[in-house]
Amino acid sequence: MMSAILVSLCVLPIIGASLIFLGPEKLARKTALAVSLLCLALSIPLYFGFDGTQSQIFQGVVSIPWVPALGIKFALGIDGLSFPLVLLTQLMLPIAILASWHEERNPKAFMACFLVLSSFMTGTFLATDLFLFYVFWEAMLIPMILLIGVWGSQERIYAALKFFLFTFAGSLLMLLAVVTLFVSYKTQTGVMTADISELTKVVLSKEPILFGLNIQDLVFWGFTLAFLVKVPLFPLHTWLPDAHVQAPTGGSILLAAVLLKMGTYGLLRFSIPFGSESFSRFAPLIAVLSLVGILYGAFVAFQQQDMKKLVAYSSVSHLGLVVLGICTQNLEGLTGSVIQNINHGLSTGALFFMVGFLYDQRHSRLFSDYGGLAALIPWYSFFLVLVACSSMAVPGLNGFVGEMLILLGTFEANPWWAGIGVLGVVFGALYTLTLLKKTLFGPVTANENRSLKDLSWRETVPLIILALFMLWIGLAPGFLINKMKPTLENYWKKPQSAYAMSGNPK
Amino acid sequence: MIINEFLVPVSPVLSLMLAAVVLIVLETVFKGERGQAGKLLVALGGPLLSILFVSLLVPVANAGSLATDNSQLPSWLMEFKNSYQLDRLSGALFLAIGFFMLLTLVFVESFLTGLKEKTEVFALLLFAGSGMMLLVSAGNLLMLFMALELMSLPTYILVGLRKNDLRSSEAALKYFLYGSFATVLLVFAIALLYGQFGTLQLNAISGLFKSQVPTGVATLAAFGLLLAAIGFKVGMAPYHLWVPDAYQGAPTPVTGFMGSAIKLAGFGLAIRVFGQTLLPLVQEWATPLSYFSVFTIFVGNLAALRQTDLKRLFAYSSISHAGYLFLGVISLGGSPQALEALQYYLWVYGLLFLGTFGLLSLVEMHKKNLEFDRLNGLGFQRPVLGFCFLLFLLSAAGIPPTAGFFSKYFILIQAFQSGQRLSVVLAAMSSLIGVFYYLRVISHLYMKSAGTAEASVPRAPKAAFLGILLCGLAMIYFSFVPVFF
Repeated sequence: MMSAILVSLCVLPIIGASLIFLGPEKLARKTALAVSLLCLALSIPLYFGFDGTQSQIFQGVVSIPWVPALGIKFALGIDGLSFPLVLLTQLMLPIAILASWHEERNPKAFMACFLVLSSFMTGTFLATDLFLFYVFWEAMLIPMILLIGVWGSQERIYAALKFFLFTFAGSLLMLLAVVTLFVSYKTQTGVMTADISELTKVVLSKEPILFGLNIQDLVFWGFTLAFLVKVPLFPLHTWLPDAHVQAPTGGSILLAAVLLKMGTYGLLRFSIPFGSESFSRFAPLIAVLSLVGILYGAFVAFQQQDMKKLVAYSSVSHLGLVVLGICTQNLEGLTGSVIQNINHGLSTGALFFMVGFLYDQRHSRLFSDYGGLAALIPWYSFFLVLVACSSMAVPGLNGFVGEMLILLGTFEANPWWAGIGVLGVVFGALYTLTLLKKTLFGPVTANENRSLKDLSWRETVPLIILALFMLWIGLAPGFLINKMKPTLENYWKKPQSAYAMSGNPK
Repeated sequence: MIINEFLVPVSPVLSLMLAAVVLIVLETVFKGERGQAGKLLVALGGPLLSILFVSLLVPVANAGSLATDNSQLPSWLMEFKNSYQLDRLSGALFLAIGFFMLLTLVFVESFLTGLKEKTEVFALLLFAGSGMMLLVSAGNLLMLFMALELMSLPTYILVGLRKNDLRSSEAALKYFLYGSFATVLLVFAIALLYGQFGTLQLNAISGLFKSQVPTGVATLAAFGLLLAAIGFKVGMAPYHLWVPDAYQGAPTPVTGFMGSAIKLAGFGLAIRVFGQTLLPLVQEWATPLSYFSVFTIFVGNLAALRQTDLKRLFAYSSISHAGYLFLGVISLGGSPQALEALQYYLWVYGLLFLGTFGLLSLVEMHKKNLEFDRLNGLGFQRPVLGFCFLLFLLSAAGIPPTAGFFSKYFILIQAFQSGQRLSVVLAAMSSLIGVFYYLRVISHLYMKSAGTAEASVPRAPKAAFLGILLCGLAMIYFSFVPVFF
């Protein structure tokens, strides 16, 4: 049952995309929405079918030989680390599609890109074969650059190329790390494998070979740099504002809500298990970089005149906090990071959704064109305030749970880090409130805004669903945390054995 | 049995030659346009028959495990006192050559409209094809030389096909001069080797190397000359200077043939020389030559960055691909599956190159030049062809899930296993440069809109459309079914 769901989540969207490609243009949007809702519906049995009491084991394992000579399999499975992100992906896909409903340029290809992207993203989270993971990880870039480059705004091609080259550069380092692992495993055991749990048994030499780094460090950094570019951590973040600002609304939603999460997911799934000692050694460095990112992102966001840029830089700041939580190497920090990953997906996805709503009507994202919207479009304003509150971690909403746990963990690990991290949260409130003030409140400055339409059902339904999740996680996060509790509790005990007991058939 | 011993093993080559001869006879009887359909049928019949014979022979040929170990082959597959060896390698490459020939013939027929000498072109292609087959199956240095000439001479003519086009004539002259220079080097190398060892048999020479490492100046010079000759033929830097001009000047479908089939035959030669004859000495040459291939990869990729003409772009990209392929040749000594990786790469690269040049021929038909701008808006105007082009570009850039990624990955992991770590790191990093220029083409294909309506690309003739589609689907098929593994 579980296996069937996992495979369908991976394959259904691709089938949907082919149907759209062959079908008439009129049906493209509806087909896409139907397929995405089907995937969302499938994630309900997935939620109930997933056994949250089990840790260190993949559930719903599928394993099909692919390149036997090199030990590569088409292997999927789900565990506590990937579980919430898979659900998040399914939730955000229909929202992204609804946000893109009005696009008139080649709607067939546009919708097909979303579905293919969803397929690859889900595959990235589900892959239990390192090679398959890499294939999905890279393949995901193709629909994403098409989304940015074809349907984006003015500077779209520059943004698309920059996005691609940054992530691809990181991925090449990861590829080298992957090859090193495969070949080391081969020399130690005589067979080739790409199975994650098997590969964690590789013993890498401790002898320094390059600038005092040993092979484990190099493998660790190969993976980590690829993931930190995706996160993105300061100073590797420069592609993000460009990509976000130029991408169409739907693309921005998926980029913020799902793609960025792959960075932190990858850190937990690969970097740390394959290089746990290196991670202990370099965690302070990464923590400092994430602190810089938290403050830098917040300051730059505060200075923006463009709403989308503000949200983009706020992502740099928020994800800095998520990485900081991982660097604490304790349970609170880790739990906070995992929760905050989801929170950021929900709240930033919603923010991009709302910015896109205004942009569709006014074709402007500048604060100077807005002001006083609260009186004109009250429902929109209500939801924007709610989402903003979630983003700046108001107690009772989801953001608070995550940030609180991360700061708790950080204080335990290093009070100084926590002190600076808290500043980031404070500045977060500053720029988010500025966003609200400049768009919603004050006098109505531009007369064009008087003709703005308020939310229709197509915008309201997704926002209500997102708002419900924000409240739910904020008030009773147990429904999510309990599903991954054992996984998180055992994580730091011995990361490299996190998958050692995986149920993968050999 | 005389038939068994004489005709059967060479039947794939003979069927190509036979078709070529029949075509020439037909042309003298039915001049010009008359009977074009029949002539095309004969031309296609050659490679088809060849493919049929190879597929019958391959199960037998597979008995020989690798190119180096022919002892298990049924002796009747070793023709003409071992001058011709139909082993697993030649079997696989014969199939590829036959298949590439078919596609080339289709593209030539569809796109070289208004050409009077079409039948001669078919015949020349078929002769070149038979030369390639002999080249990849040669077991003897003299045979190697003759096959190389049989392959090259018709190609020189094909490059200069457009007599009135200055570019084409320049390309033909350049290709001819460089090519014959390379052949001269090869002859000199053969002479030196024969003087040293008194035999022309590849296996015999290889056997001598097993017992001793040669140090004489003459032998080293022979190796250097061999390397230069092969470098010229496959377009390795610094012997690559003819590639961009010849690829650009040649009629576009012919360029497709050069980049796929001739490159494949060139690497067949490289495998015979380095992977078979010089294999016992692998320790001596592997590392220096791996830097040679990394150099080629960088030269190709860096030069491609500055190109504005699509044909030149793909010419430089083919130089960098030659570098990756050569990395595979180098790992033949240290890694068990390097031969499979090479075959896979040659298939994938050949199909992607043929498909790309089929598409470029189509674009060129209407627009006469191949600046990047000519592609603007193609992706949405012709969704299927545009998607195929996208697949070719992604594949050439080595981005999953297209087959190009797998081919590159297989080569890199084989090279890494054989110990060429630094080269693998550099080669992988270099593909970042490659990605940039392929993305530029993609950005023209999809992200820029066509300026005016007249800029549209004509509909492709049915056969050519199918051919391109087949190449495009192969880019996906090969990644799901990595045939040689």
